[in-house]
Amino acid sequence: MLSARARRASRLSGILPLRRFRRLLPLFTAFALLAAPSVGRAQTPSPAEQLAGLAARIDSAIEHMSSADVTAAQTDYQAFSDGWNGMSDALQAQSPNDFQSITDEMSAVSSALMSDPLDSAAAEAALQALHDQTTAFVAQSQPTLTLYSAQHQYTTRALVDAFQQQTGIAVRVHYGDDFELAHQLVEEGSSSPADVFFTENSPPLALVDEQGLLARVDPSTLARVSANYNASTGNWVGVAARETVLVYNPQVLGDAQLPQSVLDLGQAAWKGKLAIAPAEPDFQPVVSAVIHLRGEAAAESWLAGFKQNATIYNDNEGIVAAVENGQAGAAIVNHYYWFRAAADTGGPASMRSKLAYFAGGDPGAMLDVSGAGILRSAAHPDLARRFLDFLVSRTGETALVSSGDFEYPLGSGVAASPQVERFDHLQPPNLTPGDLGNGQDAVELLQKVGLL
Amino acid sequence: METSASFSLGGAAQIESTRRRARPAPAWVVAGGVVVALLAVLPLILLLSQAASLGWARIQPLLIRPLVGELLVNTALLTVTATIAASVLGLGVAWCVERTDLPGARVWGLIAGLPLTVPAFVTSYSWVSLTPAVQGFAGAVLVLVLAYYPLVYLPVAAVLRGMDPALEENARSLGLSPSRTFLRVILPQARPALFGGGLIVAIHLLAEFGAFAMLRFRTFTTVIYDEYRLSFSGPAAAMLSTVLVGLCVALLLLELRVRGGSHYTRVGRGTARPVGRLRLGWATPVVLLAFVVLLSAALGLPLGTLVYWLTRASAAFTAGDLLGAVATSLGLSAGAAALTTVLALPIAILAVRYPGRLATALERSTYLASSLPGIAVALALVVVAVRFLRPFYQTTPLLLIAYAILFLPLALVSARAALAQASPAVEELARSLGCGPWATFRRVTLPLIAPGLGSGAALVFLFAMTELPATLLLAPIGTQTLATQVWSNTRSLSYGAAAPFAGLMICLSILPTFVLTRKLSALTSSHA
Repeated sequence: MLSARARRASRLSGILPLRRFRRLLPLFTAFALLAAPSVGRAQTPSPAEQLAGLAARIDSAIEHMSSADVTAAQTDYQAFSDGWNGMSDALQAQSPNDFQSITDEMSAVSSALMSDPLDSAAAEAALQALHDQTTAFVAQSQPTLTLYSAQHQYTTRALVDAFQQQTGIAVRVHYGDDFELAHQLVEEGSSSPADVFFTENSPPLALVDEQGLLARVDPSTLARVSANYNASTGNWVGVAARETVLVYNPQVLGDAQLPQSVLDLGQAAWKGKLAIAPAEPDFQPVVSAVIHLRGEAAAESWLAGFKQNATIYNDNEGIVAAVENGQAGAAIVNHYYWFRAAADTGGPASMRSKLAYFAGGDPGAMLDVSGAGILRSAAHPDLARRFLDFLVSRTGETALVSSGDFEYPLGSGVAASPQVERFDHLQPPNLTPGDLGNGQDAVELLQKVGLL
Repeated sequence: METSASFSLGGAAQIESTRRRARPAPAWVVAGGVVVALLAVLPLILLLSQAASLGWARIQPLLIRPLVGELLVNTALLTVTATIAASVLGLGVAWCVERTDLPGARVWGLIAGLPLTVPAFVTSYSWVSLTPAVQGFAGAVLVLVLAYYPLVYLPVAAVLRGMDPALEENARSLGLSPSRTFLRVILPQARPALFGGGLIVAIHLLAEFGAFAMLRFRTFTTVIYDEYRLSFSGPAAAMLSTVLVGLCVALLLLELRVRGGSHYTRVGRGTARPVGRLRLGWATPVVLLAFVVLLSAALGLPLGTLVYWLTRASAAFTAGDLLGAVATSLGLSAGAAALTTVLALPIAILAVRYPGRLATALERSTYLASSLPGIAVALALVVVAVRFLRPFYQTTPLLLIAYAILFLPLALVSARAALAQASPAVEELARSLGCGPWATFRRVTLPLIAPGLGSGAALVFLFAMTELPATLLLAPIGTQTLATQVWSNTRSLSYGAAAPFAGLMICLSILPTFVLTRKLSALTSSHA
């Protein structure tokens, strides 16, 4: 039997430690005050870091040169040269030899770019030599960038390796899920160790941006990507996109008509045929799109119908597998899950399920944007700017595609994997990441109809 | 020691608790206990204050909505059903291994503890890939019972092994049938271990995420993860977490109530000799078949799945990745085991040697954080560390503290059991012979409870090995453990690439599990 005393004690168990905690609060506060000064950061970046950031202009000039856009290359080089003049005194004081060799390469580039007629091969070679010289200098001081990445690990690794090779900057990566990392960044606030936040979807970036934690991205970096994939605030840049598609199993659907619009899937004809993963961050943008394009009431009745018709799965992998093995007839999913499943089973031709693309700007054809932003509190802002510029450069986007990622690269006109539908054939709705915001309206609606 | 046999005659080993009020608890024990308990409830306090800051007007719609009701039913039903089923299964397996003439009982006894080495999400994954029929309530119960029954089996088996055979022999000689002996002698003796194990199972069920996610069964924890995963709904998640804490408090009170105030210590240890085993006779093949089925389901299937993944290991991984992750996992898990055991000690000493309100409050409060989803605890620790312990943020010491907060009950249950079986009379004797309190602890108590502490440490090691959310958020940047590698690869559908990491995770867990089974038997039979 339990004694009366023990019973009272168990009732007390929740309260007692609380009271003690209050007593200890001053102690914690004292500790916090003691710890605070150690958080202070170096205010002026080292010459090597400044140069590392600036060198993005050389990369850009090389890319422009190789596509025979001489004017753009000259503009890039001019920007580099101006930046160099602003910082070279510090570099000269610190390392006269490196200063001299970089200045030598610069005069070679100048004369190559100014010569008439212009020998583009020679100019490109001179730029490359300047690039190598700066990279070697940057690499000496072993700068390290801290990246919070919610992108897939193999993609992130491929990008980080290519970045280090290109710039001599090492990257330490903290992996996590989109919102998990966004939460962490918000909790960390201005004392975050992160320099760059790289996500799979735009809402977590929008969230961190709303909290005032992101810094401006260089206009030249933003310019590498079509403006409707970047933040309207200019505080993050779109890196890659995924198209929402209908994955369906012809054997299960039989002669049934494929839906013209994602809204058709709320109709009773689809009862028992659908799979849905409402908790995946990829589903929210579709809901947001429906809300924006058809209104909240229409979105709610559509979702209620969808809930009636569909079996709920936990993740996108699960619903692709369900459609593939015939448990479900169709599902809404980002295109690359299907292509990855296909890559695992021996190519798209060996899949029993097929893809259908919604047309005419249907909300079902929503594009989800993966992007990156620089933390306002970044300890290495120059390295961070360089990394962002690299992500959307031709080299960076090519590394993304060749890592086996089926996303659509958004920067510098690089083409996606030849297996996927051409980007210019897609007909997504005319919505920007800014319209999507942090996705809260979609979450609230999903909660309201009981899908979350 | 000679008097012990007569004392335990007739089942008199149940001694009604007599509170020792002769000496107050030493200050260092109380101080240690209070600090540890504070540490354990820290995340909880933060969550509660976060939820409270909302104000009732905003709490109400978050708390009173259809989803919460649905989750309450789901979570409660599943926790109760699976805990009872795991307890019955654990008890049954322990009884068959320890009290019957089952062929190969020793080997079965060792293997039966091994499902603990397979993370629940791997078990669920293999079942789901075998048949989608396991998705839903019945499947969730099945898979989680298979994954967690060793948490009941191990302590109960240890008690059965350590029990004085005289108890059962006397019961039989006085005319009780085997089944009534089981009900009236064995079951009461096994009760503390049974309830302790059951409580741990229940609390882990409340906090389980990976398995339920795969099994498509929605509990509070899975929905809290969704809230964190989908949006910046910290308050909503905090609200749901407080409901979860409420459920945990209810569980703790329930366990206190059913366990009752009885103590089961013996004055002496009786004699350690083989106990007479029940002849199974015609039932032998049936029981054997049951064991084969159970262990193929709990162990064979997940291991088979891993081997299948291994054969498809297409994605590239390097030996360096693998070795690095192994070293990190081993180091972190060993550190977590050591720290958690040390932290559990003062509370265990208080609870066993100086029972009272404070002891009960401190001990029970350490369970609360374990019932919370790892992500909620981890984010709360991010807040604490960033605000108050900035230099320690994303360092190994803080990660180890996080592990300790999450796994304290595992170490505590073992430490308590060990202390309860070590007679305070021996300590008092040492004190009366002039040994100081510290020397008594070091030279008398510690050797007596070391095996118990070891088994607690082994359990913590096992769970730390597969821990994910706290590791992801709080580990030093760039840290890769076996668990984070499995997560990262399965997230991108590369099960082939995940397999070597998952396989190694299981291999590394086998050793502590064997230690666990051996230590538990040592605990109960070594010092007769």
